[in-house]
Amino acid sequence: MATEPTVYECPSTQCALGTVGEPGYFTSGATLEQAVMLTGKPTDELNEGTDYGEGVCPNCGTLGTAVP
Amino acid sequence: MAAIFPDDGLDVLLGQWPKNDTRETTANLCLFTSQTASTVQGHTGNLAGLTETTYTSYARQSLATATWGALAEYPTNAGRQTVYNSGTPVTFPTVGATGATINGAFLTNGANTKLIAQANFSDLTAVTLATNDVLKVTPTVALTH
Repeated sequence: MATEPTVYECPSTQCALGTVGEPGYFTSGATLEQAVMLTGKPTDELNEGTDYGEGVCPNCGTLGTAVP
Repeated sequence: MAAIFPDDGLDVLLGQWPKNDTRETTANLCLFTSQTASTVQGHTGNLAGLTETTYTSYARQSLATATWGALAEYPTNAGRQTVYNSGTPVTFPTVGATGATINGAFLTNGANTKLIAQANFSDLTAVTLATNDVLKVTPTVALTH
């Protein structure tokens, strides 16, 4: 049986994910390329796990929290 | 646009009124890849009868009942409608490595156990999502006379 992916909640009230004023949800996480676009930083200044990768919101780059 | 409140969905609606089932305070907006860009399931349709997208980073988006907009005319005098968050769209996660072709959206109850409604997009066109794309949906629910 396939394992359900972990769902994360984006804590940023400024993030467009979901709808305005309410939390949005995502799985997986921002790619390195997406983190570059979101932050404007070069790849060598970005860290996996905090700036991109599993649990990082792909819409705003904020580290999310796993939903139980 | 093909759209339906299947039996499961009507049960949820009738459970809120006149029957006194437990109040539904949230619903979930989801995307499907099954059926076609202009068709949905029939009246016996349910969650098992559709395929939810699994594009990278996708997740269901929660809709609070308190955020649905004012009840208004569904033109012209056809019924009544409500638009979620006064028309501000619901944004889905930016697509990661793997995209998908989306044929429409569906609503589930808060517990994700029942299909309340399933609908194609209003232009009857599938949305092909590729890496870095963002899909925004403006949910509207209307009941006709």
